[in-house]
Amino acid sequence: MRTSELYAQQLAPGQRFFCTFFAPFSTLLGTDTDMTVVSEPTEVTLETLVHQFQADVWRYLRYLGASAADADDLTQETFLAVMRSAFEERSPEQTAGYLRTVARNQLLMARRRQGREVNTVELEAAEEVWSASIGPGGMEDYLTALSDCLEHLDGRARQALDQFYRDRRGRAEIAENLQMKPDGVKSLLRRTREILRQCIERKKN
Amino acid sequence: MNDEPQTTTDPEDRLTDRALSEVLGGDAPPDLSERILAAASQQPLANPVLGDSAMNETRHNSTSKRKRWAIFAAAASLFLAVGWLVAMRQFEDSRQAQVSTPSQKAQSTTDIASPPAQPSPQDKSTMGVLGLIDDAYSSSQSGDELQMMVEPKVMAEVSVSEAEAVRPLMRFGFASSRRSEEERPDAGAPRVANDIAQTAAGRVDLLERVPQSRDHGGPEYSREVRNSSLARTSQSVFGGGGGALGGYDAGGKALGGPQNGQFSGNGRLRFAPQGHGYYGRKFQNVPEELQEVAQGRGPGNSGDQYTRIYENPFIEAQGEHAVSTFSIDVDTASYANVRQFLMQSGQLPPPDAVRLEELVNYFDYDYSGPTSDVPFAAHVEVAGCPWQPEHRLVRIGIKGHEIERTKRPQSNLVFLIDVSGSMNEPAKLPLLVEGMKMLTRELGENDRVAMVVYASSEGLALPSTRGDQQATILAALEQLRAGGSTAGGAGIELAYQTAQDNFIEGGTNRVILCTDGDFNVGVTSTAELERMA
Repeated sequence: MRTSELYAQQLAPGQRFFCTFFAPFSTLLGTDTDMTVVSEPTEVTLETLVHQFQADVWRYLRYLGASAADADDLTQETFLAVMRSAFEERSPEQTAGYLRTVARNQLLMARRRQGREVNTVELEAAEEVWSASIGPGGMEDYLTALSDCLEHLDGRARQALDQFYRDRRGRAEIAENLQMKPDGVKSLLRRTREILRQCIERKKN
Repeated sequence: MNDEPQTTTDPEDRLTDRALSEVLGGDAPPDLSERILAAASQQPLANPVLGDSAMNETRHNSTSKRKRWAIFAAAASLFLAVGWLVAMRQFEDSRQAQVSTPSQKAQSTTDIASPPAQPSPQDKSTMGVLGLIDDAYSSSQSGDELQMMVEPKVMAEVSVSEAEAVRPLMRFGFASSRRSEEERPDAGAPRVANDIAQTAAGRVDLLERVPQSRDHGGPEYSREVRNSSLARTSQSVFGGGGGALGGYDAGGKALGGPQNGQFSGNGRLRFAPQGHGYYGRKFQNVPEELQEVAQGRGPGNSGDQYTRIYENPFIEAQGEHAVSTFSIDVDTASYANVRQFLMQSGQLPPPDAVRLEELVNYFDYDYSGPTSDVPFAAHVEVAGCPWQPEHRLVRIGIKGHEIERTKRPQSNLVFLIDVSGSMNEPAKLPLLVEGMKMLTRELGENDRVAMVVYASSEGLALPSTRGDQQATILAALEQLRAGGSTAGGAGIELAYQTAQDNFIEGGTNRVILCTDGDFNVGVTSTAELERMA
């Protein structure tokens, strides 16, 4: 919001006209107008928004399939788009949902610019799962629950997870280490993730 | 934009997969707060208030009232400004008429409403915008001419160096009556102002044609028309892709692709081997020492250097001249560099930093690729020339086969990183490290990466490491610090040796040189370094 608009809010109609008309010339004539700033600068509010939601927006974009570098860019674009919009904050949940919507649209626009196929149904399904699985506390609660569930996981399932996610090994190498077939590793990972989801769901309930 | 390969399509499974990548794999969100806020501070705010909803509602209700007042105020301002101009003109006229006697002079200063004092020099830009008169303008100017001259008045404050730099911007449809370098009058602010004034009035034909020398048949344009891309050994065309063509190695040698044949499509252009044709020969005959450096002071001193761009005249496409040759070059750095000059530094870039082909190549034109076994598809379009009706503009876009990321060959990369003192700036080594991190995230278990650093001496900062050992690679990048002089020659030797020691047959073996280009110790000539490589 421009300074002149802020000034106009506070003043009477006659004064508004005078000040709005007079403001461009004030610098020439070297005079000061007696005005009062009405509202706080928005950068503080944007900063709060960024600090509170930036991590989850990034996670959400990664969840939708963006690479790490693209997620960085799209996260920035999301907040800039929100800044330019007529957004009004009402509640953290509503804000989080709005940010996800903007982020999803940014991803869609980026894919369309690249001429890539856009599967909006898939994105909508992903959004439904996220909003159902991630509570008001954001992804942090989900990660905390996941960490707790991992502590109770052992054996080949835990080994497979560690080698795949922590050590970044391929399925072929994991299969060789665990004396399994590559397809077996894939199934093991999928079943283990299902077990962890159920554990997280129990903790949430 | 490259998406991550999905381990699963089920959204629930994908959510858990993402969470595990963060908890176990360390793929946590970076802190983008500073970056976002910095970007936000450069953005114009449309309705940025995200605070109290009640205040938002009040502001929303008063928007329409504000608009009405703003329109009324603008109209009143304009009316007063015009009246002020008229009053000023009358005041000047009356002063000139009454300077003969002191008494009359005194009378004039009291009878006429005193206009504002002559503005200080720092206010001239504002005065120019408002169209106020200064000594440069005759009092006989009409209002229309005065309005037209407002913009040039602002431009007249541009320094000489910036006036020189603004000429490239004028080449796309602005007036230009410049001749050769020797015939051109001294460039300066008034000349820039005249050019723009004439453009505004539409009285000057754009791209004035000048007589051609005897060596070439047909007319030629003034030097405003840039076709330097055709004069360079490494030239650019519109469009991207070209993966199936084999690409080029570090020395610029083509690894594959057509040498002489028609491309798919209905065009009749022929591609000749590189180096043939008028433009190729002309550039290759220019010795390196004569390729004037636009900026920088050479060995022993620092500074950005741009190879001087020599523009070539048009020639008629007849006979042996009816062949154009160009190599496939999709560099885009010039656009980012020009954008940085304009957006961050707030200044015009050096003329030789503006490589038009790279500006064009920066953007994605979404060309479709070849549909058969031909190496690439060409998209040709001919359009009228807006500034010269009897001429035509030809756009040629080249698109090669897209290679799937999962099918890309294994990579053996050696980062040769300059860590000399000149790299100790926020936009150099730290930015480079961030870029390297982004690249590292794209590597997999079948890739290898090593890191060689060089400053006063060279050293192997990271031996050849598998690409999935990302923590190790990222840790090595984090430890880089700038300092010392720049002896790049020794570093290049070590880098190539490292690459050779880990050579992948049939893979992509590259030494990636990351530097500000400021070699000031040992081998400093670009040609010598290229020969060493």
